[in-house]
Amino acid sequence: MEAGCHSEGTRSAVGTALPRIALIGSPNAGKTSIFNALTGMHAKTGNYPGVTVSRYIGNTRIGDQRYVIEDLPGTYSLEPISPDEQVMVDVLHGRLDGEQSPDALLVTVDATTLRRSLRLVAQVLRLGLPTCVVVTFTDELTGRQGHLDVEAFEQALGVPVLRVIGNRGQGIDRLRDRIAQWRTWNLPALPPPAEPAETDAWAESVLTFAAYRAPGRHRVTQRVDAVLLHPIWGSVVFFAVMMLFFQTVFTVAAPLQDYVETFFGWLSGLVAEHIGNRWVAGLLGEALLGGIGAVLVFVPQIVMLFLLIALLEGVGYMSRAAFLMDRVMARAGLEGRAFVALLSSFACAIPGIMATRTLPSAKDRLATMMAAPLMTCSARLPVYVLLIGLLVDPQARVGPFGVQGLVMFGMYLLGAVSAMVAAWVFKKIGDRRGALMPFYMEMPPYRLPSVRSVLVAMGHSAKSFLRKCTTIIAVTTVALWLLLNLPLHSDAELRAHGVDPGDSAAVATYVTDHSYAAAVGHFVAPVFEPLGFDWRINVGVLSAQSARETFVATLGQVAAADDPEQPTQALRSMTHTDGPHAGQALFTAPTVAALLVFFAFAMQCMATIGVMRRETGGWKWPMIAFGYLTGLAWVMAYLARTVVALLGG
Amino acid sequence: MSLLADLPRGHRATVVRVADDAHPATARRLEDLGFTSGVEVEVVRRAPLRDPVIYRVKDYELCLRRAQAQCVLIQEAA
Amino acid sequence: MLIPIHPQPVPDRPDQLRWITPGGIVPFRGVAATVPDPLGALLRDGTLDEVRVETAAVVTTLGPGRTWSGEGTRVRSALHAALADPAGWQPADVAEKPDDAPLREAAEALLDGAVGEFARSHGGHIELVDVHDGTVTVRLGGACRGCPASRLTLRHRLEEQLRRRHPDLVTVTDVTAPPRPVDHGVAGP
Repeated sequence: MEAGCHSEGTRSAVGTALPRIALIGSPNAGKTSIFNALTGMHAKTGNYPGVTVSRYIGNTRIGDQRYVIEDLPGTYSLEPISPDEQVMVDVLHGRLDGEQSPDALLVTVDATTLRRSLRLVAQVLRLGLPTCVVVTFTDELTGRQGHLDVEAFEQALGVPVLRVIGNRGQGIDRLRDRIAQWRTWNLPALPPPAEPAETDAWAESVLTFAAYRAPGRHRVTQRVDAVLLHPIWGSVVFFAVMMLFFQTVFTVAAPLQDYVETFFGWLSGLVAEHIGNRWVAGLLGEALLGGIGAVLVFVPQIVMLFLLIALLEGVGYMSRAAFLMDRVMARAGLEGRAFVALLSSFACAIPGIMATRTLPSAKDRLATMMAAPLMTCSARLPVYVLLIGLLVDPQARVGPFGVQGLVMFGMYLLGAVSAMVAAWVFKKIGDRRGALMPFYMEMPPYRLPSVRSVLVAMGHSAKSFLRKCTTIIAVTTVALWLLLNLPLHSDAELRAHGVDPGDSAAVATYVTDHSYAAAVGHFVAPVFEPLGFDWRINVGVLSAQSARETFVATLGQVAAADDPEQPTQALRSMTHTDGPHAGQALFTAPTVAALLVFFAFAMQCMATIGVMRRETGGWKWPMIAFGYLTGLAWVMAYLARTVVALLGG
Repeated sequence: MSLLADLPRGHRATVVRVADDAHPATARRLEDLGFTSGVEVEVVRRAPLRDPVIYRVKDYELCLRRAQAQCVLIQEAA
Repeated sequence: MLIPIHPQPVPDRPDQLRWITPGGIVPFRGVAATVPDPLGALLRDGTLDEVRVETAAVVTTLGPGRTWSGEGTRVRSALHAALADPAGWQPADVAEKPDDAPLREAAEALLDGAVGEFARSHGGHIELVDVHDGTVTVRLGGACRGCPASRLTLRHRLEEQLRRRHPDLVTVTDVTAPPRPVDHGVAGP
């Protein structure tokens, strides 16, 4: 033992690269909390090449030596049955491009499910790499009247065994000491057998030797499940939990979002006040600060959603929700776990897309990601409110329900149904290649997650969102601002066109009307003409490309409304300025319906595209999503316009 | 010998083996999840819409859809 | 289901593996003269040099020039088959006495490991005096000596853990212990 630290220095000189330690384990075995305890918040997330599987790599320092720790995706077996499982096996065998096998392995096993887990341990030990077995949840094992003699277990396995309770940090220091000695870890005298019956016999023998007594049933879990998975009460609680989920997101996050918005409004106000040049002030205040603000405004909601997801996941309710919803999701060719992702997308597609990580099948992940942007996210809400206000008389009622509310409900329904259909289609396309993944899902006992693990999970998500999406959103916002505000107009030019340079609203209207964006709006007019959009709506739609909610403000600006946040009146009186319909009202029922439907389908969210690129590790899928959704939006909008026109006519 | 999918709730049985006509990948995974010959399995709970079903095998609970549960041959305890 | 077995290394004998089995599968202890095929075939073709039966284990010794990485899988499968047919095993020497070596190894391992650690953490130590005919004799030293509580705990601990590994353990005795009838109540110096 004493030799450990002295020999370290000379040994590390052998190879210049840092020792790589990989963590393997089944889902729910406490692997991630051990990874977090080892690496803290310094983990990097990326993607394995070619598949949509996130890769977590962190660093840890033990003594003078730094180690690279890689958290491999949770798995029940090293016999791959899908391309993403294959990648993990390739990592272990050093078959990934430019990478060698890890130097050593830590395999985490849940002491309460040891009988099942030993099969994975057998497969890992057969790899022949230095391996240390980390036994977790020994406290729960004892609490449920189980028993394990860790020392005898170590003797039977022939490799180092350590007891660690990850979420409480117990045993982490000993684990670090062990990792430092990875070069001296024992290898088994003979690797465990590969033949299934022999593996079972081996596992049974090892467990007997280690005096293993399986835990009794988890009483709390049995009682809670009797209610939560009850055919009637279970469904009632499920809907209550989901309601609470959204209530919390909206009630807690909304005011925070307002603060963020107000803060950035105040900042750009300061910029406008103190920078003389109108154009520079605009670029800095509106474009740059506005862009960063547009990103940050999502953060409270995303953090809230991830907090709740991490909590429900940590407690064990997510697998119950997935269990209850599996049959419904099966209709779309998906599985229960995809429900959580689609549900989150009701608030915002970003956490929804990030939540697809829990899906074991890559095809399911892609199908869910392609569907997520169709769910009615909160950014669509102000647009819907504005357009429905234009479309439907607030007094109109059908029975006890206001028509406005019904239309709003219809829009949510449209989003959910089309998301399911989209998922189904993408799943069908994906399933043409390769075999179907069998469905299975562990039901872990209810556990109280540590505050730390929940916060770490939440922090990771928020951080990766900010780091990867800020650039793309800021760039698009600046680009759009430039399109909307260039070319420059001198005061003389403004006066020549009868615009008072002192009247900022008039100047803004003039600048927008003569901007490159307007030119683009005119240019694409033939495309959107069948939908009844004129170039000004086109400008609004274009500006909404970075984030949907800007549509309201842009239209307000274009319509020169007194209050750009409430442009209903101004819009109602707008007419076509040119073309064959000149003089006719612009926002007719068919056009508004077309706009509504267009917003329901179109992929107008750069943040979503950014997250999709991050999660899939390339531009292919975000481009496919953008393409199909934009095309679909046009077709559906055209259909909506035609139908409404027929009904109205 | 019968199929795991047909075992009523609350009943126990012993796994005989994974059916030969199951996809090899599915069969292998079911074995890795604990459905190996001689192991006791119990039906814990069915979802409100009858599918999927939670089974208890090798000291833990796992849910399978009918399609997978049909791949497991069992011998019900007398 | 196959009979549960797993291999463990034999200290200082890389050519041997001790296959832990449930106790009493094969009805004798000592070196086997005949074992059922295909394990018998491995003995005949020189893969294995010797198969020795212990109470809850089978020790296999490799023939010269063989390695476990090369032969281990075959030996394991052959052993599984052989254990399913205990009637096919014949001892080389019917009257062989129980071999104390594995018991000694296990006792040494425990005293070097958890039990010894436990004694040291209480300021004492345990020393192995003798292993004979299934009886393990130890000497308690340091703070443990004469303290009836720790002596009991230690002896129990060692005995319990040793018995789990070696069902043929008769007893663990402590040479420093006063005669049994006055075990309690005697205060040591």
